[in-house]
Amino acid sequence: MEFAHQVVEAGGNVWFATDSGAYRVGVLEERATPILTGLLVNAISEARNEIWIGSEKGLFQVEGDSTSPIFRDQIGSPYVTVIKNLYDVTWVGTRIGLIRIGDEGATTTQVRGSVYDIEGIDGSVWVATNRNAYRLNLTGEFSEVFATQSIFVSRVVEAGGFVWLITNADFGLYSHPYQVVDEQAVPVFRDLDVLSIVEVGAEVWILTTSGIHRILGRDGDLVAAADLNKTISGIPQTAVGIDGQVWLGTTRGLYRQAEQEFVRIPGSEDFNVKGVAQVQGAIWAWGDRGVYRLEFLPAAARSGLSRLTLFLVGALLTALVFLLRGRWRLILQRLTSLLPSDLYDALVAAIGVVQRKPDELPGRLGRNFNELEQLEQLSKKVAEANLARNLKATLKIREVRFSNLEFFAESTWGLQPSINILLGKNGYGKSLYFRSLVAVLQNRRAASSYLFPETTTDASILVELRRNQESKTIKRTTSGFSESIGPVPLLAIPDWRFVTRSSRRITAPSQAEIDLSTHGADHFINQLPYGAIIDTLLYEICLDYIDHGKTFKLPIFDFFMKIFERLTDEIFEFYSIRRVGRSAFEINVLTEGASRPIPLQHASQGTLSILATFGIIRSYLRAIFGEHKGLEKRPAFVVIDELDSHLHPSWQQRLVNIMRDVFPNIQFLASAHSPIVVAGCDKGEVAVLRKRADGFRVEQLNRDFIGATARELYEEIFEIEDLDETYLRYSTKSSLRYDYSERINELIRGREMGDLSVEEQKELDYLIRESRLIRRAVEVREEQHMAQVERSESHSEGV
Amino acid sequence: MLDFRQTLLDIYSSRAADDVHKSRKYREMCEEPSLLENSAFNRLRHRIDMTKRLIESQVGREESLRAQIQAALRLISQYQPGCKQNECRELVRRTYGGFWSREQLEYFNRACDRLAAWSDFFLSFTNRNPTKNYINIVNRSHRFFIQDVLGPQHYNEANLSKTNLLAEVIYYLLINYKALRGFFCPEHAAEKSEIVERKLREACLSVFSFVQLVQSEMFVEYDGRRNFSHFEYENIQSRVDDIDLIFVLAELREDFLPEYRVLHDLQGWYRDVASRHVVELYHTVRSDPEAIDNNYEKIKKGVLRRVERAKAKLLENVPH
Repeated sequence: MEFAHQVVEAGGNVWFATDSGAYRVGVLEERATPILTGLLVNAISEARNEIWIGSEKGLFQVEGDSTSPIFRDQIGSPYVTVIKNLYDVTWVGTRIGLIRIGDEGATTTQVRGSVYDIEGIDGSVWVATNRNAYRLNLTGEFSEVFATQSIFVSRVVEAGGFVWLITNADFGLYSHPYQVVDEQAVPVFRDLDVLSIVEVGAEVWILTTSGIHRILGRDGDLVAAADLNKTISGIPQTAVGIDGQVWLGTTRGLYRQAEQEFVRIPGSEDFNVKGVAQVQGAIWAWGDRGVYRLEFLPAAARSGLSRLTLFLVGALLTALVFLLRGRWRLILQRLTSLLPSDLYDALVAAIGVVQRKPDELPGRLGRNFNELEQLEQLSKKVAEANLARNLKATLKIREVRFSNLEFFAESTWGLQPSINILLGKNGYGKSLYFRSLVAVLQNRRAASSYLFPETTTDASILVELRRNQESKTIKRTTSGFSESIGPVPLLAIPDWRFVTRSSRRITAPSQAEIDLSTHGADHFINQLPYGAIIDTLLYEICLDYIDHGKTFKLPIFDFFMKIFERLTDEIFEFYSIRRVGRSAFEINVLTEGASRPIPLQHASQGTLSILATFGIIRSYLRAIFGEHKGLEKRPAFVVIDELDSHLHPSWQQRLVNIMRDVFPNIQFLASAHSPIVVAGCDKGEVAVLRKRADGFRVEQLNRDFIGATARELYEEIFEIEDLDETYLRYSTKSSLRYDYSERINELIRGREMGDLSVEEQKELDYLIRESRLIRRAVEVREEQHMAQVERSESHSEGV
Repeated sequence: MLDFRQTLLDIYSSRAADDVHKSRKYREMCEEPSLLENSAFNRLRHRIDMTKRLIESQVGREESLRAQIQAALRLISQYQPGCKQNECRELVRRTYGGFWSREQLEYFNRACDRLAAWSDFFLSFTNRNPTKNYINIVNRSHRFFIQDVLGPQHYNEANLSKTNLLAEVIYYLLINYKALRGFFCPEHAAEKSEIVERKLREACLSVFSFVQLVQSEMFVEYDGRRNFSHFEYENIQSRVDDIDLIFVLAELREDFLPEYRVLHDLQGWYRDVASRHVVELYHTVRSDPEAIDNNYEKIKKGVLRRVERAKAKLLENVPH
């Protein structure tokens, strides 16, 4: 038997879903009987009065000791991940969506993506998928919980009166729960790598990779259960609440909460516990070594209880065995919760019902869990060492190649050493392209998995780069990283780079300081709010000012002044920084269009966006190299999403050249909507995401844009003809040559004579407006025609 | 939208752009509220309307049928291949084609097919490097010109022993000055030779002119490897139509390989090159702004204009 996924009760028996099939064990049986073998089983459930098995090859129904496929003609044989019976309907989650099976048969739902969890909460069905969370609304349709972005949700849990969505942001190590309040999913406990959430009694517990925490109060203050955590060995994997206690599975065994400590169940030391459940009154634990059931053992003598106590217990057990024959195990299990805690721990032990031998474990996991942990520690150290090495090196990315991925067609993008702009319309996947690329560069397996189809094995993202002039390759394939140089340090700035404008005060960041040199891409990859980073930048500026004797003659202020001078031809000055209370500041600036100093937050969104972008890039360089003269000349790799957001076209036109001059050794990779951004770009520096029959493709433009006018950029180079819809509609109307003049004159005469009804007045207003817009459309068309003729004749000179 | 495109093309082909309102079908279509509010329909109608007006002003004004076809081809060549070019072609053919002779119509169709599918030029060159693992002599001789065109960083980061950056320079200048379309394959070592040959042969058959960057290494034995430059030349020569061959000499004439050292099979090609007016570029081993400026001019006048003229032959050859 291979890796176990689930232990459930169905039809009065206990069932195991495993890598190699479905097994059944009866109450009086000691060993499991294989029912369906030779394929991966993820879910078993009692549904519609039958026992259903969800496998990698569809749904099966159990008939005695054999099985037969069901619903093949309606749903085919999809890869089933979850089966749940909720509200008289059986919900079947698959790798490609959710199927509803009711009295009328099987129907597909709006839910898309791989289904990871299905829960019934407060009369509604919640579904977690690798693309979003869905909720069944009152109209019987599923709506997306995250309307604006795609989030990998691995579990839905109800606890403490809230619905929690546990996301799998990056290989389970950066999971984030979202607390759903008033239909809005709110990010909470962002710094924790959440594995599970458990409600026991009146308390809500959160299990993270670093241990177990307790949430106190409705507002969710978090208290690390430090004393409890000290008693746990191994990496936490799962937690459940059973009979008012928290049960915990780690890579080093199964634990039960007893007052202020966790007690490991004897016999589970070498067991990597992935799941725990109470089934038929017994505690079951499962993982990559099979399935274990807690049983009473003579080995309880190890507890050091007195011989007399053991004798008495032994005698009692023997008598019960004689009295109850085969039923003794079940009854003893029921009695366990009544036993005093120390006696329980002494008597109970985990026994493998179906076990896998250690030497059958995959080689990379190691033969025992000591090795596993050592391997994990080692791989962490290797990643840290690689990152440290890459931080000291000069890295330049040469080429990015996407092959056989979802959404994107095969394409190669040769990156230039300084500026690289990716243009494309909304919805063409610029941010997705960048996020996948950044995740690959950062060696993040899960975050880079989104584009990899489940059915294709030859998909890859390949990055060719140079480290200190030496050619290197990073290759992410369907199964993971086949070539890597460890995490590539980079700064990735999302498009949501807003300065908080609701308050004039700049306060100390609420979170622990983020080291941009090593975590410069985290917010972009995990789509986290960026406010904390910008708040930190502004707070540091204030501290610099105070620490240096309240002077503006500092490199950081010069830096901003020069940038704004080039960008706007106008003055931008930090006018004053004032301390407010013990830990807050107010910044006043003199800026374009303002006759007197204004709070920084009142400056235009464009100004704030530039301040944030350039300031964070400088902070990033400072985090790597420290503050020194010529800091801006140091090499780095920076990704900026939607470079042109909030900027006036004249700023868009200048921005790229300012970036190139201010940071001459930074390799930029930026996305933009506006073609104006590329004015002045050199050959190869511009690429366009275009929609092709086989997907979206990056097409690199192998020409320069030096001296190109806005008209040339829009019309000739990018072939953008997004004329406004009002003009287009009235242009069509104008071609019909409507003549409203007679009717208008008639209505005007009527008005002059004072006998115009309300309806007629409305008609007159309508016709006057129509005439005006049609006339305007004709004028515009004539202007466009003349410009077209002029361009055509200038072109003809060459041919 | 495809149906509307065809209907609109039918209507606009059968009457002047100013008179389309007289068509009952047109009025019915444009007065249909669901279409009038449909921005895709309005955009398509507007595009076809503007194209037809441009055709009327550029093609319709010509007095002779030959001049009409020339103006039409000139106009069609200004569109990138794709639906706009097809629409323009369709409108011209159906508006004016009925007046042309059969020969003229056939020529027009053939010319349009070429404008849609052909490249302006084929750039032939070699990556052969007589110094093997050292800097390719062509990159060394033209170092400052290359740096001026492609940028010093590009030069410094390129694999100078295995690439021919002067060929990149010529390609870049041609596509950048006039947005020409060219066939240029910087390296194909990784592909199987039959795939490369097929690709090259197809490209040779669908270009208006052939530009070859000539170096002595092309005419000698080189590690027993396939001579793709000669293969390309032969394929161009095998074309039945008259195609412009433009040779650019990468080295000084006095350094160019003497005929007695040329492989026997390649002597015809060598003599053809030697007998023509060849564009000779100045060496820029050292920074020499005057030589760099002269090279820009030589490429503009000696290559770019000739590539443009080769395409213009399509207009000159329109039958009377």
